[in-house]
Amino acid sequence: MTSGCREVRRLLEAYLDGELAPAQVLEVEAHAGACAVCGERLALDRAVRTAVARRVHARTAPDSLRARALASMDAERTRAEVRRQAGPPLGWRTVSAVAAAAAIPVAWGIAHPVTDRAGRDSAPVAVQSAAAPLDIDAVIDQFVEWHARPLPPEITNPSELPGFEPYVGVPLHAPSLTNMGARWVGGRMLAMRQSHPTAMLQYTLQGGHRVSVYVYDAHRMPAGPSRLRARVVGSEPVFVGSVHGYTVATAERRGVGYAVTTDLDDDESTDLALAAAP
Amino acid sequence: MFRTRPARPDAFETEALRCLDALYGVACRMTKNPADAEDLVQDTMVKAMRAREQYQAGTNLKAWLFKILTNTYINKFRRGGLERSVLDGPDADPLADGWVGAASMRSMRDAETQALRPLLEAEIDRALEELPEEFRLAVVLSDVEELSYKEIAEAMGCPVGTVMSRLHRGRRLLQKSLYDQAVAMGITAPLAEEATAQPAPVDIGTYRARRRGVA
Repeated sequence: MTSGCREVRRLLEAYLDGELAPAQVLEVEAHAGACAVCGERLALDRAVRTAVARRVHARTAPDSLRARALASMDAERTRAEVRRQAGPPLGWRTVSAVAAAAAIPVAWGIAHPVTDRAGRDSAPVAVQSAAAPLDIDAVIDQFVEWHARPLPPEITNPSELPGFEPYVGVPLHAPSLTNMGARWVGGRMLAMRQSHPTAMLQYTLQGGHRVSVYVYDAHRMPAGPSRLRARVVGSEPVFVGSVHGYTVATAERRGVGYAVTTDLDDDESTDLALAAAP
Repeated sequence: MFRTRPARPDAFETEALRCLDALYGVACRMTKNPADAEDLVQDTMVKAMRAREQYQAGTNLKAWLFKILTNTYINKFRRGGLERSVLDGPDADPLADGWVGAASMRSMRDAETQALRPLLEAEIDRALEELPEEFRLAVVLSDVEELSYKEIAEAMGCPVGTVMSRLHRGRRLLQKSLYDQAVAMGITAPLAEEATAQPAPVDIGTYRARRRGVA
């Protein structure tokens, strides 16, 4: 194998994937035309690809699936239509902006009777990192505790939120949860272990679901192994899991930590965490 | 209070329905079970409908749908993320480049059609099934659906470099398995006959086979 071969082999896959720059395409084609071994390698790679594509394409969607897809599209269209007619904020995901300022703050804290702890987490408990400056599981418990027994908001106008910035030490913007049909209730400052300032933003969703969004300096309360399980959505991990019957989902963006606590399921909580973390 | 809603799918829906076969084909390879594959595609369609405002018109709808499919698959079937491959280490690639000579490669193809030999083509199913999940998904999204590295990276939630390495390893494993099959079927001569042209040992099994052949 010559050094020319070696160079071309390196590019061969990207060549077939259509990911090479024009100059490199010419280089590969010139070499593969002249070198029997590399030409053969190219032909085999191409043949395998074609075979793989043919085998996977051999399975076509059954009519039953097509019918289900059509039916659900119809149902979704109706849902969206009803929502448009009924006005905000009824929707999950679909309804766009709700005028947050106009939203009537609901009485925060009376919508929950005795906390039901029956749904205690049965998820596998991960090994804790002994070196963590702040025990991540204790942080998560605190998030749930604040959510379960919420203190009244200190501010009810989202534009006042930047006033918390000097305390939290990270930029604060009201997350665009309103796109998901969430109604802003208010915000307040809390201190994790008396020393780690955290902003708590309170929302409600249709059906009386409360959503607490915590924003904090992720360097002071870094994520680590915990009861929450990692998921990768887009390119960023989200940690999600149920704790004392509530669902906690955390995400980090540019050093800012976001944690969402809800009584919704993991998927919905993950969506909210992603929406909270811009 | 309802306006009469359109009875036919709109442009977005029509385009999404056009991707149904592709989604189902990939879903079958992921779940290895047609019933689960149907559920996975159905969930994907519902999520796509609900999130359709997030879709940017003019971008690749199929790639966007595959991103939803992949996330749905991970959340539903693989809550802890994709199965990590034991081979996912720096030195894990058992096949150095140039693992097999031109004659062997030629013998795996059908001389007339330039395609893979039909016998081997049937082996693709098994070879795909045996691939570690993250390799299989990358290979299928690239070779079958022809998504770009960037689109695959977005769908799988990993950097482009990781996509390239998964593709490389996945394809090598796939070809290794086809090559072994070709040898077993007598289509291709075992590596020993080409030993002189292949200075570097491929893996311990073929290395031993080669030594036996030479001795």
